[in-house]
Amino acid sequence: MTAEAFVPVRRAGRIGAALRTNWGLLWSDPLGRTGVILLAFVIAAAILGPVLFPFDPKAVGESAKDILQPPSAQYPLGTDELGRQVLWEVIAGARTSLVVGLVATAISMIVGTFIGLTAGYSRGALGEGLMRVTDFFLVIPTLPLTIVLAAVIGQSLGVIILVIGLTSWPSTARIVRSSVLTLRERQFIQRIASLGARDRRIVGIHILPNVLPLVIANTILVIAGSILAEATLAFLGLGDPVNVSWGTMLHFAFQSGAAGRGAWWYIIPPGIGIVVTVLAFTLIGHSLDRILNPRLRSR
Amino acid sequence: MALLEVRDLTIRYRTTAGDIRAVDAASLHVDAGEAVGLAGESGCGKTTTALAIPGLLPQNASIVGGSILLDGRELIGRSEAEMERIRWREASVVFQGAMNALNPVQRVGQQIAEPIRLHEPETSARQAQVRVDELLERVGIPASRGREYPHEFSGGMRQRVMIAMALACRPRLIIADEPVTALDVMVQAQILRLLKELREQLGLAMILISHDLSVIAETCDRAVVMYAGRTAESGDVRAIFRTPAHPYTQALIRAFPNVRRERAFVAGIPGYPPDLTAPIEGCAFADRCSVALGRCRTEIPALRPVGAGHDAACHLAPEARSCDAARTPGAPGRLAPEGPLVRVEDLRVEFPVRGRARLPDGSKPVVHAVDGVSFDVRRGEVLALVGESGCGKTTIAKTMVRLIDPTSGRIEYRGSDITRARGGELRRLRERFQLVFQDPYESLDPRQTVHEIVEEPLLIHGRGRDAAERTRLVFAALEGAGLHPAAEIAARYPHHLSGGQRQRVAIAAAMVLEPELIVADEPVSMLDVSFRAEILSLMLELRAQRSFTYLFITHDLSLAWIIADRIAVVYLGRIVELGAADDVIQRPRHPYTRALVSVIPVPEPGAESDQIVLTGEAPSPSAVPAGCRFHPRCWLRRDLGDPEACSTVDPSLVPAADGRLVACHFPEGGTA
Ligand SMILES: Nc1ncnc2c1ncn2[C@@H]1O[C@H](COP(=O)(O)OP(=O)(O)OP(=O)(O)O)[C@@H](O)[C@H]1O
Ligand code: SF4
Ligand code: SF4
Ligand SMILES: [Mg+2]
Repeated sequence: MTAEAFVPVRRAGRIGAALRTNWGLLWSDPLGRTGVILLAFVIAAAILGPVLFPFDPKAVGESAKDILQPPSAQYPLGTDELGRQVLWEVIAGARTSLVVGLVATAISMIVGTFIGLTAGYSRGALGEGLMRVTDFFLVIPTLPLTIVLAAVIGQSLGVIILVIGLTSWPSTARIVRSSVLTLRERQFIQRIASLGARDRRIVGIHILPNVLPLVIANTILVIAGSILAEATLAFLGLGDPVNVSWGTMLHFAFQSGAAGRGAWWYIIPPGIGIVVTVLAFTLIGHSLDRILNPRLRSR
Repeated sequence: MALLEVRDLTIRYRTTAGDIRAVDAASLHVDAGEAVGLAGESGCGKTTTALAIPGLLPQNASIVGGSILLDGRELIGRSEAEMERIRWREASVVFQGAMNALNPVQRVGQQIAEPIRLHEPETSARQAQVRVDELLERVGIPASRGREYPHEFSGGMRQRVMIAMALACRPRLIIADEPVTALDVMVQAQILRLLKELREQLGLAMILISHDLSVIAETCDRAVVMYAGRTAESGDVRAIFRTPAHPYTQALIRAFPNVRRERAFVAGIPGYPPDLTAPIEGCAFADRCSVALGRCRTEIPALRPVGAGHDAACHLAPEARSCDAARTPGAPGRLAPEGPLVRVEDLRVEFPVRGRARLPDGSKPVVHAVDGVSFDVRRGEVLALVGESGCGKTTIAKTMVRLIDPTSGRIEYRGSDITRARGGELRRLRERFQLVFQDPYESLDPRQTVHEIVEEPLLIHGRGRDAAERTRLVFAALEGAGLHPAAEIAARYPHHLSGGQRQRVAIAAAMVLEPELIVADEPVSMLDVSFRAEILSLMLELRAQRSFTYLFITHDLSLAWIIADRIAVVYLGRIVELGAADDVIQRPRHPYTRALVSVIPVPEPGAESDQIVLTGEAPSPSAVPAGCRFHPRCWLRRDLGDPEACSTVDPSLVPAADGRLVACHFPEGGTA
């Protein structure tokens, strides 16, 4: 083969191939596979649910007979304190939880990776300063911040996403920074630097692809955390009252005294929703971590 | 009767890629009090054989045949409890690289006491303590330091601790796996001397595993050479090194430089060891053997006597004589002095010491990594910087090519000052100076293909009109570095290449910009000897074709000797001797160089001259001794009755009688 006929492997093709092998590894790991199946279930509910069973928060029960009814043929999962079907509500909650989890994590991942890369790669004052900022955000308590923001902006899904995004990026930034710090000392980075490559090239072409696996595995775990955080905030009454989520369901279940009156069907389904989703992401995250960061692979 | 008798041992590893026949009917024996060296390239099964003796093979290994007799008792198939006893009380092991595996949070003394407590429970705590102190003193460590933690010990001292631990339950046989690999020459000499003394004092038998034939020639009574899991040759070291009967042994010996002889270039062994997952028909060495016959490929040669106590597994032995012609080509020419390419004057590099430590006068302590160094690199030469680890070789080189900023001093390139060059000027320098690093596994981005790796310098410096032209340049560089076919190699990732091939890729990436100066930092120290010679001759070939200049950094003086035109010996941030390679190695003048040269092992038993083994290790560069920085360890100073100048006046690097530069008040040795 001559030089002219040589077709270098393209990055995109390579990423595709990497995805395929990693998918294979994930699927062959029993825990990873369990996570994938659970997640597929939740995603299906989030996408199809509202189409098949449109939930109308205003469609309250017609009479007192419809309120807080235990599961029956008519109401498969019973009804809530306003006489709405818990089943429809739980399915609607899946969408909110996933949206909050994914958007908040996207913010957290982009901010965290960017700050981690910069802080890890630039020696001196900039790196130090960024780490101070990171530490500051790391210790901000989520709850008061939400209360303040909710007071200023109003209670909405946007505020929740913003708050979770703002409080969860520091962990990503720290992970990225510490792996950049070691990568920076690796010989291949030093060799590239000795060639006179500019920082942007070193970071973009050599460091980022090498930290990405770490970020991806971490991201999946952050999603789990974000979903849990949303549920917590909503449970405490800081959620968006318009969008049903599992957290708001629990909130209203307790606030209306339904929990006190033994309406288990109102509490257990959203609880299971949260547990299953968080578990799914956690399982996938840990499995990916083992696959993508083989240092931890079982010996 | 032999103390240990291993007969037809066959061991397999089960892996996902198939079964590996790591040891294939290997045999060896060790008499009481005897030292036997186990030699061969990486992966030939040395460690596997050795670990089988005390029953320490990994989970996926299984012994499928043969026997291991210790004092006539079969060891294969014994229970774990029995083996545990044997392991400490009869045949203990110093593992490969184990000195880095001491428990970091347990005191050194306690770690040595552990096997005593476990295997001799009748010993009281006090008695055990006395034993530990004795053991420490015996391996040359003051007993009081047993209370310290491993991180407070240097590599050499940790290796001594490992040896003390192996001796804890008074075994009769010690198996030492690469005990001096990765240690500095002087520390290596100290450890080898220690092992020798221990053997004499305690009547120990020893199996010493080393890929370095010179070490075996120097310390062992007999040697066993393994190839692809089989015993190729075994016998008295004198017989093995003087009249090697197996072509592999012959080739291996030629791969080592011998500083006690005329300078001759080393020869590599072309090709690679065979794939151990496939069955090997006939002689395992046939593919690389220069005298192979037809029947070598079908018939496995049996290990048979070729002399008194000397066996070889070769159909032609003892008549096999692989050609000697490869011994000289590519040998570096003599000095071809042209003007200086780069010149360094009174270079100093200081690094701040981390932490809050303060000197008595309140100033922050600094590490004087480079402490007043002047030299020039002449156009077209190979200049070697040699010295122990931590002496500042790499910092000197990196500062010279402006990767580290000097604290003071001046660097000139083709007559112009580049000490403070920046921006565009610095980028142009980056094009002219290229680096090749020590570890080919580490110096290539694991996520790039070979093509991308070699193309990168072109992209960085905007060379090559378009992708096609760049690809042409990349292929030319790969071919130039001896990687054929370039197109096939270019598509691979580093982890699909052997160590030698990776280092060739690194060289291709360094030469694709057609630089003037290549700084090679220990470029072959991670490679097997058989590939070492090939990389070295590639570097010299390239010099001849493209008039590169090399700055070659190494801790291995015999390598420096065969590849360099001139050698600079570095001690504690300062050049102490600088001269033509032959002068420095064969007629060293500075007491430090003389000591270093005297302990270089050579592949020739009985050749050791009077060794000057320095005690202790180089002091830290943050506390450089006053006067001559070498004086606390200098043997000549002691011989001369401690002249005052040594401890008060810092000698400068000045020409001695024969024109070479020496930094010593007494460059003529004791005679002047
Ligand atoms: N745990 C293992 N699983 C599978 N294969 C192994 C294992 N350990 C060693 N091998 C393989 O067995 C062969 C012999 O290895 P061994 O470590 O005994 O060689 P060696 O001569 O000690 O090499 P070195 O000089 O690198 O230490 C090699 O091909 C090696 O890759
Ligand atoms: S048996 Fe044949 S191939 Fe093997 S070493 Fe001897 S001559 Fe070479
Ligand atoms: S000056 Fe004195 S102490 Fe220094 S190397 Fe020479 S003899 Fe030794
Ligand atoms: Mg080994």
